[in-house]
Amino acid sequence: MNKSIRSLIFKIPYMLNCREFEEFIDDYIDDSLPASVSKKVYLHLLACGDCRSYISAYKRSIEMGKALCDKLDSEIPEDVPEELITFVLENIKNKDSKEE
Amino acid sequence: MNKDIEEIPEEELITRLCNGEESSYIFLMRKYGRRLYAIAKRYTNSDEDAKDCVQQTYIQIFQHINNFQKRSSLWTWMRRIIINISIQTLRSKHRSQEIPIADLLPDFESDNVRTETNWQFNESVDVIVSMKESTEIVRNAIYGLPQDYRLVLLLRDIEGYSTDEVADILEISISASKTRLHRARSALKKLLEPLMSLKGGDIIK
Repeated sequence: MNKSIRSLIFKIPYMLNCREFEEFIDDYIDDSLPASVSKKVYLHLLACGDCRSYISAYKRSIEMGKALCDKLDSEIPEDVPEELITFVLENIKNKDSKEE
Repeated sequence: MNKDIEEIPEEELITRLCNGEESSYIFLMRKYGRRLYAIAKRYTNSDEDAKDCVQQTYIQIFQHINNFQKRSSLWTWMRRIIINISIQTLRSKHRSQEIPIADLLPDFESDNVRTETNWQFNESVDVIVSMKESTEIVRNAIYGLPQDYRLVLLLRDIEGYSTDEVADILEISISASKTRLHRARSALKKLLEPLMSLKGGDIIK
């Protein structure tokens, strides 16, 4: 649907325009839309292919962020360095002996 | 001695930790060290700082295990401690170059209509992120976000905390937690647009 037709549709009472719709994007993708706006949001999405495209890219970027973090996590070595364990144990002992 | 430590219920592990049994300390460090390190690295973006955070976290855990209320699991409690320590560490450092958030928010036409590319997704997210060049683009996008926004994004979308929990961790209002999440996600989307329609063989310019 071209821009000028969308622009007209969004002037119909009850219809959200794209800027108003923007406010509900996170509730929409997190499936937590307040019941009072749910119909308006779905109606906007039905009428607006650009917002549908926007949401698909918005969701995909969150997935990319998650996939990156999974990848970075998987690169961390399995074993906890012995020096870290020793450091913590020494530190705890020192603190204990100070308290005594 | 303690051959069975891996099989003991959490309740008993906590008792042993409270009693100061060294073997239970070592067990806890070996069991969760890697996961804690991964979290600290995500926030500090530095190997050295992440290691310091893990050390500090364990010291704090062992010193305060007697105060652990058991309202949550041990891991939930530990995770919250390392997140707090990592955020403190991050905030104590000089900020790296950040892109102003205003430059990354969506644009609308004068009549409040959006114009968006009709994206075609050609590859799975995992394939894209596994490509060397795109890994760097995603990493730079996340770490290029202004710190206050990046923190909300990591806490919500990666750690999975709720809006209210994020507000509590960062000591901000619930509405600020929501607004920052939306701006962070919008900014990330804008920064990742070059990767949206990528195909396996593409070279990113």
